[in-house]
Amino acid sequence: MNLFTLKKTLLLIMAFSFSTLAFSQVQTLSNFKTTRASGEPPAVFKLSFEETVQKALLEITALDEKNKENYARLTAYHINKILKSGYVLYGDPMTAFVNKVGDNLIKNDANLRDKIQFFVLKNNMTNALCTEPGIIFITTGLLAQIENEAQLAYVMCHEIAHYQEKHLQYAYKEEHQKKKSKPTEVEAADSYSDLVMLSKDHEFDADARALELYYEAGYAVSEINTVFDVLMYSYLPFDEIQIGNDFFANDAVYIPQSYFPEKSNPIKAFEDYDDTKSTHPNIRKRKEAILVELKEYKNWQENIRFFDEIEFKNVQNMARFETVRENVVLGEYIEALYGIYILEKKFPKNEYLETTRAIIWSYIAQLSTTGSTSSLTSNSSKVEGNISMLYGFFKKLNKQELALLAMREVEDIYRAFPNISVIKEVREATIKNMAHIKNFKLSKLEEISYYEALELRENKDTLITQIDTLNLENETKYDRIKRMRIKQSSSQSLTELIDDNFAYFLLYDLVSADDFNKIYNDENKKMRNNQSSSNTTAVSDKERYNNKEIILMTPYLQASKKGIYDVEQTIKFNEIYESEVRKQTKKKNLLNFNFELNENFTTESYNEISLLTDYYLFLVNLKVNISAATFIDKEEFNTYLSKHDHSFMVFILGEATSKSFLKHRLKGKAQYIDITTGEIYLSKDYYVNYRINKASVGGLVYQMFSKF
Amino acid sequence: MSKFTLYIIVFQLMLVSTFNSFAQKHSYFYNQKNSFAIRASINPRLIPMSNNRGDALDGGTYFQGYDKNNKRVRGDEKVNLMLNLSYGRLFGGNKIIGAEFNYQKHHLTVNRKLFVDNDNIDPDSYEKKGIPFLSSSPIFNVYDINVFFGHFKKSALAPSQHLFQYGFGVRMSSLNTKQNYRMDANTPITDLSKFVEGPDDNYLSLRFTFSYTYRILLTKNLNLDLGLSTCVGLSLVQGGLYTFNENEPIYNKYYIETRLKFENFMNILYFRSGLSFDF
Repeated sequence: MNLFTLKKTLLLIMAFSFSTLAFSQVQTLSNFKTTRASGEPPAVFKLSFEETVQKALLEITALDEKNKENYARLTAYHINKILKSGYVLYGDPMTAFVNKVGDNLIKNDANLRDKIQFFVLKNNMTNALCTEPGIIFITTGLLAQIENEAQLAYVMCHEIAHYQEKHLQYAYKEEHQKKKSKPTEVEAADSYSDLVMLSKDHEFDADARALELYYEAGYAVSEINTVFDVLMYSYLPFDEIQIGNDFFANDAVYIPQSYFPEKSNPIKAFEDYDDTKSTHPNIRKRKEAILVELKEYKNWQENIRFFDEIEFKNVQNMARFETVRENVVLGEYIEALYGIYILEKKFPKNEYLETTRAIIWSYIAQLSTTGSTSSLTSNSSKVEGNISMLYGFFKKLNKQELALLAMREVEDIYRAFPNISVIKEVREATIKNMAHIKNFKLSKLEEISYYEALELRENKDTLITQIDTLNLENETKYDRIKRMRIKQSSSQSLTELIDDNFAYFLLYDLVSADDFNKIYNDENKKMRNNQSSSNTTAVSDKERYNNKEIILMTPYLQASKKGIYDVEQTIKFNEIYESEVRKQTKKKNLLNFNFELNENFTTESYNEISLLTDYYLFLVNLKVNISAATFIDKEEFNTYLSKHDHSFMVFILGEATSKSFLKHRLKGKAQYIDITTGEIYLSKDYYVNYRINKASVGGLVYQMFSKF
Repeated sequence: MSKFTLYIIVFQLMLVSTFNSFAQKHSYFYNQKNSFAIRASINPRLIPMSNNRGDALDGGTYFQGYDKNNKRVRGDEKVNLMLNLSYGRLFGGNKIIGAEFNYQKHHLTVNRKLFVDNDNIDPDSYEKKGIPFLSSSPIFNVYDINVFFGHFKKSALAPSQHLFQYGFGVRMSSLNTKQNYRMDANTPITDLSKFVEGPDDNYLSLRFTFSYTYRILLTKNLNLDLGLSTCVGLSLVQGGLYTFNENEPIYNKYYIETRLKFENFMNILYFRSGLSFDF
């Protein structure tokens, strides 16, 4: 187990209700803030593990007694994890809309409607997930990709069909039998979705059954084909538009076209892909199967929607804003910039988007001095469509060019929004960052734009001749200034006007600005002073951790037996962990979210988990030094900090493996995040060759908390 | 306790205190850096047992003594039972250094050479045909003081399941004087010097040991230990040939030295089991 596993798991559990607000118009979303749950939590969130098991047991009809219990426990464990992850929304406009569509779909079956609950899960994957007991998650990634209510309705029908047909239960049964007969061929599964994998037959069944619901609800047949296209191209951004000159906000800035690739990478997705290793049949097969089913339905209605289109658009836009935000949190900066570029076509000068853009450019600036710029474009060869042009462009830029371009972009955003404190702060950090560019001097920069320089050079002789023949008596102040500048520029600028030198002209209007120079020079001095007195004082663990508040996040603990995920042992692992934490941390200043949510679930605690998990993901994906990076939910986070300053967020990972009767292994580690500074510290590894018991799990807890 | 033994213990304590400063840099299971163990070891006397054949008593496992009622009892000490106490201090992540104190009660093999005609001894009664041999066999207290260095297998945080130890120390044997030694049922031995030559003497030998212990975790602090030790015992004393003289003690020094040296050298394999408490 490693940090990657944790990241993967957190992403996975970031999987999908809101008072029914009436929308009369498309919201501007200028004051957009990431969506959090609100209001009274639905009953399912307050259920304990055992209560969820009991609820699930009532739903299970396709399994024998032994498998029934195991399946219920497996389901309950994972559902509880997802529901308490902080990423499932309730009381929000997106979930409210999804529920309205759900109500409409099964309006004729009150019994079924009572059994099914729909939630929106904040996650960029384009996905929907049906779980026991009747919980269906729709991801924000899916809401961002689909084009209308009918497409959403079809996906929801598909998931409802999985529930009605008990596909999950049958899948569990089949998977269980397969593992029994060929245990060596089964690789370690590390998640609920890996364990309960639906077969291709289940997918065809669900498509057929979905069609029935979809038809009965009165939606148009035309959207069924499109929804498969949506799924097929869901790996691409939520829209495909060409990168134009307006990607960079300032027209006076010359961005060489030669820095962009000649053409974008082709979109390779095709319907008839090899699905032999996938649980889902390929799109062509699904379309063909649907065509056969469609023959049974006549007199289709033509409804694309039953609810106001504006309401859908608002939900779609919110989901798209969430997609951009999540890309920032996950360190996908180019994806986020492209998302903003698309959204700004609809939401020009949007405060949220521009602030986010400034933050991203400041990260890029930091990358150019303290990080590795290659991490920015590491996926460039795999990227398809228009966004590949951006990847190609960023790949071409050297570190100095990147830093200067980032400064230019941040400066232009600041000029458009000078009163937004976050943008002001980001600008200052970006200027300071310039002092850290290697082998760089401010004097290298030109004070005229590339275009001006080009014009001046071309007309140099003419201008000089004109200047020499000017009637100085009639010359105004502005003529004199102009004359002086022309002379200065044409004589002092030695930079050759070629594309490779474009960056020297980027900050033409900034290099002589007083505030810019002041911040830059102060940082330069500070840097030199730091270099001359490099006696930094090391902080001992005792000073760093003693008497600090511990914010204990839900741990990630997993057990496997002979390479196969073992849910019973995983549950045991978690139960012993919880009891040991209670026992060993009585005298410590501990805020344990896991207990809070299990014993006294409140929306406030739930949203705090969501915020802190976002912060954690932001930190681990941040490719630059945290000291100069601005967290995207800074305002919300500052409110939290005012209550929990000087706290340490603790994430614990544990993995127990059992290879035979005598061969056991239990290992774990923790990350301690100073929430004030964002610094991440790692625990020493814990590793013992014992089975899961009080002593071995207690040892893990002991070691992880020994610093405090 | 000899000066030599004292020196070894002091040296060991110095080592422990030196290594203690390094211990903080490493992680330990529950941060346990001290290990106290109490164990019992069994040493099967395989070679002496092989000498029990026929009437050849010399080098065998037979002994005799008297119970509380002064009734003569015969014994066959096929195994040595040793009690071990040890303390170790962990350092360097998986290493341990410490001291071990062992005690065992050892019956000296019955001295058949007391008999002039040693070819005519009844192996069941140890009596020369026609001349009964009724004297007690002497019992020795055997103390070991060892220093040891060890390491736990690196695949887990120490203290863990697999412990390998290398020990070096001295073995001291001295006559257990608080026994009911008798010439026969009616004649107690009041003057031990007539029973053994040099009843107050200590017999020293050196011992090198290698031990493996498999520790089964019972609670976070307590382990059930199952182990195996192999020992090489080198005596510091020189045994001599026995020369019997009517006026000499029943067990003379040379005989005792020879027997103890032989015994020490043959105590090669110990199986041990016990509890260790880590804190």
